[in-house]
Amino acid sequence: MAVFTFGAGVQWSEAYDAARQHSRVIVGASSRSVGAAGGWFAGGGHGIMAPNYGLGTPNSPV
Amino acid sequence: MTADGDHVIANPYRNEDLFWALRGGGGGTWGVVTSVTYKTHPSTPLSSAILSVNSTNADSTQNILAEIIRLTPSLVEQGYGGYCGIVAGQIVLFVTSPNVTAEETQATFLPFFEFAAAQPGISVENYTVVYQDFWSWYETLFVASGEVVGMPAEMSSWLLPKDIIETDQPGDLAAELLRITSVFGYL
Repeated sequence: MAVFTFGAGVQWSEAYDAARQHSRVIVGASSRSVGAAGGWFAGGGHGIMAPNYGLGTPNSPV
Repeated sequence: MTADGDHVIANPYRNEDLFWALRGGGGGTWGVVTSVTYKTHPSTPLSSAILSVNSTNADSTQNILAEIIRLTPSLVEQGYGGYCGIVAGQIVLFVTSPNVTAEETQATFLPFFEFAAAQPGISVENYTVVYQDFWSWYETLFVASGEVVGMPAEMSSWLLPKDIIETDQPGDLAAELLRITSVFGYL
């Protein structure tokens, strides 16, 4: 399974930019400066890809 | 990092209780998360629909919002995710799905677009578009726009069960959401 590990401080725009360079998609937030390893995930992890792939929390950690 | 200073790994096999609590338990409640590992998914095209309404007719606003609510369960089943913003006579809807074709998006949304356009006292813009991948969608809507994060509003989060939408009248829910909007300004 292809996974990404993000340290605290990585923002979703940076996470998506990293993922696209490997032609992968991650369920994440929309606004650019939301932290990829922060409260977004701890709050449940809503995102536009969630209806297909699940909320952020079932997508983490694997 | 837990409150007693231990740096631990939490996953389905190690510190399972902490792992369970972290996933939705609120930021900072159980410790400091120093890194997270996420699954990834293959890159696919995204098919999108966008609607923007300016309304001077309260009935038209409610009718359009009720129709969005009525459509929502089937949109979710088709894999659409997105946003619907309501503020002072304006409704903006943008949704996108990796699982449908441009033709399917048009077939789903054209009747709704026609319904919206037929309402009195409104101006409306709408279109469907396919983005070649998630990044194209993201870059267009969130990077090129200069949007960073936040708005002058208190955020909250409610999940509406599907049966509420399917068994209650969409018009009643639309009226209540518009009432909330009239008090708090933005939804």
